Amino acid sequence: MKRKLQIIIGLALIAAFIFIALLAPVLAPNDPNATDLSRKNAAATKEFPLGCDQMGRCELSRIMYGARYSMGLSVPVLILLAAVSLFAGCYTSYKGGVADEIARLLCEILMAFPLIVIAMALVTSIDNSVLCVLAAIGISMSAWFMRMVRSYAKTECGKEYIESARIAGASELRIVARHLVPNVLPQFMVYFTTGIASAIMAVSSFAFLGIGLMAGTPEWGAMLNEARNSIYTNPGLIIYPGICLVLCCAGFNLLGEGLRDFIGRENEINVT
Amino acid sequence: MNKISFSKVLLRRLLGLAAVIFGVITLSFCLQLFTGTDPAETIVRKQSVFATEEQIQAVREELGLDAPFGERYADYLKGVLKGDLGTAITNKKPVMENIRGALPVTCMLIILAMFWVGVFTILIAAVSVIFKGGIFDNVMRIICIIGICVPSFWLALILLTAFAVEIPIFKVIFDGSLKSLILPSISMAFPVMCISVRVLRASVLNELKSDYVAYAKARGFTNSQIVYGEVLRNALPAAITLFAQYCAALFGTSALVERVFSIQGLGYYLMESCESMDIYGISGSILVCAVLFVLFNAAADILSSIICPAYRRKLI
Repeated sequence: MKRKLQIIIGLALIAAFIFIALLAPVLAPNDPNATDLSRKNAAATKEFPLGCDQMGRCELSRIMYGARYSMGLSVPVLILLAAVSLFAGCYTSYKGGVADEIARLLCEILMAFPLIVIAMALVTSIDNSVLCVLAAIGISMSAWFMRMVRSYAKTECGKEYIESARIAGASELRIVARHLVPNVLPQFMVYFTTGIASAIMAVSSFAFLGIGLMAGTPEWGAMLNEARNSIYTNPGLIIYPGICLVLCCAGFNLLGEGLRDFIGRENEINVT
Repeated sequence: MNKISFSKVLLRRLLGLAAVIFGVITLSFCLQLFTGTDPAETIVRKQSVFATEEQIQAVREELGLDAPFGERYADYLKGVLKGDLGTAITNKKPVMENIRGALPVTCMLIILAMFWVGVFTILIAAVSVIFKGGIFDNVMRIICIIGICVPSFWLALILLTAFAVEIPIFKVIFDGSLKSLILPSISMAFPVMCISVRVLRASVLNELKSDYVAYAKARGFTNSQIVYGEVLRNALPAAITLFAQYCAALFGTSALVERVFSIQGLGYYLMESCESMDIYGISGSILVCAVLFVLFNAAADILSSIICPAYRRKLI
């Protein structure tokens, strides 16, 4: 029951944020980029439900548009990434030998660099763009995904059905694609869902440091960065974007946690 | 299974360590190699906007940037082994010196943060396991799930607003004292703590279910003998590995909290080099971050295999 509740709350949060992100132009009461210094730090009114920020922009509208950046940037990259690392991870750990060793070493080397450091390095050496930030997330997260997939795949490889498939004469590619990947997938989905939460957080922390997104973008991290100077005048500006960030990540984390317990329990039932 | 000797584990781990560090150095060299901005041009343009191509070429030669690939790589390797990471473009000092100046504050911050993490993780996990399913356990479960999603920089801003602006217990600006490190270290520690409580709790509960615990009970050992003598030995490696990884990762992510509190540590230096397109500063500091991560990880593995004999099998 508890697990189900977790999954339901998680899904509800995710659905709510997707809904807001998709319908932001309809739902938002004002233009998120319309500045008006006469409304600077204005208190909440009917027209501006959460008040205005330091440039007189509608806080609520900006938060709504912020959902677009948080999910729109990280989710597509992660889906692509997950597909690649799932297949590559399974293939290398099934194949063994040199490919296996190279994949292991590559993962270990890439994992040594914290994500934020990779992002800073790419931004410095190439240019300060969203693409660099997404590339950094891709490089860093794929190493962690690969490692996870490989550890799952290693345990699966030792099981009898793989052996049977091999004896039945199935080709390498077929074993990986038809047998290994589908069996690793459920466990990987759990990791992937929590991975989305960390990617959303990462995009926001980069925006907070001014990496990737242009100044003034209605992104939660960037909004927090701008609000840093108004801790004395308008503390509300710090609170709202942060709460959204936490709730959005919590949605994905709750879903992941719920799924993990769900899968774990299902395996138990199968075993007994 | 035959007994796996500790020295064999150590040797294998150290060999792996050397390979990874070599890879890390190579990667940070590649960063300098494939950079889209020409460091020579950045240096010359910093002095005068109207620099000629000859001037840029002269600096390029001085830095050895026009040398063939192999020669540059060999030079870089030699330099790194001697502790020379190049000269920063920003302040013309050796990058190593800049990092050495920034590292102590960050180290203090991380030591303090990890102190909170260690103390609270063990306390909370212990109480949660003892009173499993109780109110404390359930409340902590919820706090930890949400806590994982709290970004450290947001927590830092909230703590700053609450305890430095609204209730002025702490100063807003970092002044080098231990007291002013409390807020930043707590905001760094909180998300890490939430994760490690969950991991330690889960792995202790998992171990408690295993057969050897039932066997030890049957042999008449007391509960505390079982928990301290056997369960913790097997449950700790998961927490130690996580602890070490986060400890090392904090060297990079400290930039976020350091920015909020204006602490001039390693993260701040990273940010500064990033903003001024200082490719030598960046590649030097990411090398330091990565090497720290690898070393911490290896230390955690070695520590785990000292504590837990079963862990040694995993490393082979």
